[in-house]
Amino acid sequence: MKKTIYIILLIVLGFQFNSCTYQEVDIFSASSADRLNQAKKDDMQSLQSAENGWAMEYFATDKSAGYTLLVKFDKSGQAIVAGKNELTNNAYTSDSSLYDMISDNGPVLTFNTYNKILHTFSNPINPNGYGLQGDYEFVVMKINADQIILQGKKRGTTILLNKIPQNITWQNYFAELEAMNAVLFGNNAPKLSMYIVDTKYWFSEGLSHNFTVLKDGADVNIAIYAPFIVTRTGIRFHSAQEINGKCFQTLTLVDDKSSLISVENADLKLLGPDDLADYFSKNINVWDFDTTKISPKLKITYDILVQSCITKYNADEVKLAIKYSSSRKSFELTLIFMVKKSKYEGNLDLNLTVGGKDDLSFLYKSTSDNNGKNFYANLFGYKEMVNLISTGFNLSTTTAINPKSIKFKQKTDADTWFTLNCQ
Amino acid sequence: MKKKVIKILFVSFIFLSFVSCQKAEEFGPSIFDTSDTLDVNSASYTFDVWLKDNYLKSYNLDFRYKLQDVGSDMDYNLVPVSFAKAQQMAKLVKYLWFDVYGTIVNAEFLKENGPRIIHLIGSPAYNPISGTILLGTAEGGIKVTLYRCNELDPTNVDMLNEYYFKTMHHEFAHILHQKRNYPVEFKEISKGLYNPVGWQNRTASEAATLGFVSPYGGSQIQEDFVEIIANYLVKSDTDWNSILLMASRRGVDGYGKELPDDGVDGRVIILQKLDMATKWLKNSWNIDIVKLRAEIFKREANIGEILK
Repeated sequence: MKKTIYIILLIVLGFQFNSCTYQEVDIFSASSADRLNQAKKDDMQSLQSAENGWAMEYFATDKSAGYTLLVKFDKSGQAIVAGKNELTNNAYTSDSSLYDMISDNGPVLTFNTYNKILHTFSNPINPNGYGLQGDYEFVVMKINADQIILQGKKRGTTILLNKIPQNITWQNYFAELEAMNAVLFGNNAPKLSMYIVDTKYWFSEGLSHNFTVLKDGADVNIAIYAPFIVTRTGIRFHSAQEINGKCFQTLTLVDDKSSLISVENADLKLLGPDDLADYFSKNINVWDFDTTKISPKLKITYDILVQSCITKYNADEVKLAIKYSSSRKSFELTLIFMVKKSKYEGNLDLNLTVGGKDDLSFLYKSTSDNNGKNFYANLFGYKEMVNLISTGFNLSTTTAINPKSIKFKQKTDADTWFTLNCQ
Repeated sequence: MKKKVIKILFVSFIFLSFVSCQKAEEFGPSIFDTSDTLDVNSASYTFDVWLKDNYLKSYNLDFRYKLQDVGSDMDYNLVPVSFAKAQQMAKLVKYLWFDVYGTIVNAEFLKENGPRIIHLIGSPAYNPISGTILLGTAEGGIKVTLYRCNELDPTNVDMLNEYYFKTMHHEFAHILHQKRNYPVEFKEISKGLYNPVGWQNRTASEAATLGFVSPYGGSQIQEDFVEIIANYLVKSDTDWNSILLMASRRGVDGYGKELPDDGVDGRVIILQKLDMATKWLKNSWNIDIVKLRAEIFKREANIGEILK
């Protein structure tokens, strides 16, 4: 009996050794190491293929604003990175450093020597030993012909590389972004709004590129924050925004500059003020008269006023503006000029009345500060100018999403109009 | 029968064990691959060749200047060293550290006992909660990491010593005492005076009066030991004597106010520690710390030439 058991034991042992001689059938044609090496080579070639480089849409964290950096990868392992933002004092600045494609959770693009443009976002020095906490190593997630999707290795932010067209210089690329930013958020832009399934949401603090989003009438404590980046065509949120059951991420500025429309859902639009008269009446900024956009009839009077300032006071840099004065608690027609490096300002109090949508009127109250009183009494053309302004106007703008320039057309005389630009 | 089968099985297993060990590896002169695999078209080729010749082949050391997160402490936010600063640092480290030991001890000393990896980091490693920064680390006698390399200013010798070379000698002393223990009597000298969590709250003056050459020296015994060596090696006679003078007086706090008498003669303690470290270096490693220091000072006068 024992002999039988030993024989069985030996047979079983024999099978165990044999079991090692079989090989598994390979599912892939090459080993995982070879495939990873090949993927790194392919990714490197894709990076280097963009002759005019890539526009990197960089988010340090998913809670911070996006920045555009322009990057070109050459075949020697050197990358040139350019930026123009507040971190470069808004000056076009570039720096070159080394990059590589390393193996780490798949192919990872690393900028492994210091680049003063890119590593600004990772440098712990400022602020407080934490820095902006951005990545400089990026997992390559997906490669398309004109776009590479990266993911920050530590922070997990999604970072896009969009191929830059051949026909644009890097300086001009930044100029286009600045122009878009100015249209959307320049000159003390108003907060934007979006109707999502009949509910209005406010999007404020756009200039910070990190919207504060709040349901109309809701408590500010429940606001959410939505970081985004300005692109050549509009804006893109770092991640898809899901509000009131609707999703959106990329928004394009429409041709008439009236709204940003969602690429994902055309019903969703970010809009500027829907009533210019109401917007202007609640605006506390200074609005300058645009002397290049003024009716001939008004321009004649305006020029007489300016000439009178020069003749009487030897004035320079004469400006006319409308603003709200919190100290006088009134709108003012303000005349400002320089005399030998000294600034002189006189204010006439204006009554402002909103008549309806885009309908507004001014009326000189016959009160003023001392300078205003003297200017009104002594300068040719000033009384005529005040008379021409003291009437009703229809308001219009060519950039409704951010009405930084508003045309005021007299309701009773279409040939009398002027334009105010928000400072 | 049973015994016979067991014997057969035993012999079979022994045989299999030997088979698995048949391909014994032969050790080469370096633990790294020194074959020529550098890309001649690479932007860093010239520097990489220099590193290979001057560190990899000469000292069996991988000088890493290209930062990889995985090669650093992931708890810190860090940035890489710039290519230009990496080149300066590589030359200075060789001149003021490796070649010093090569001259005073022997050419093989650092090849045998030095770190296998030096890793440069551009930024400091901040500990924002405690308000401290890390200037260097030595891991298991294998790897030395040097931080803050982007602020390297080769024209400022004091800064070079304070932020880099003191750190290098500090970390290297760690490597040496991890291989051969420092004297057990050293542990007794300042017993009870170490403060591992609040050392940064002591002023240099307060630390000195307690017998520590720096506040960090008062954090732990092994830090105390290496701080004595590192400070003595890089500080000029004037600076070293200033520490001793400070140690012999009453300590002052951060506002210049005199502290209560701690009852310790810091000067005597520091000199006692230096004496122990000097003897340990001589007896354990055949290193003459006085000659080593003199060689460092001699070389510091020629830094400008090295970086040309």
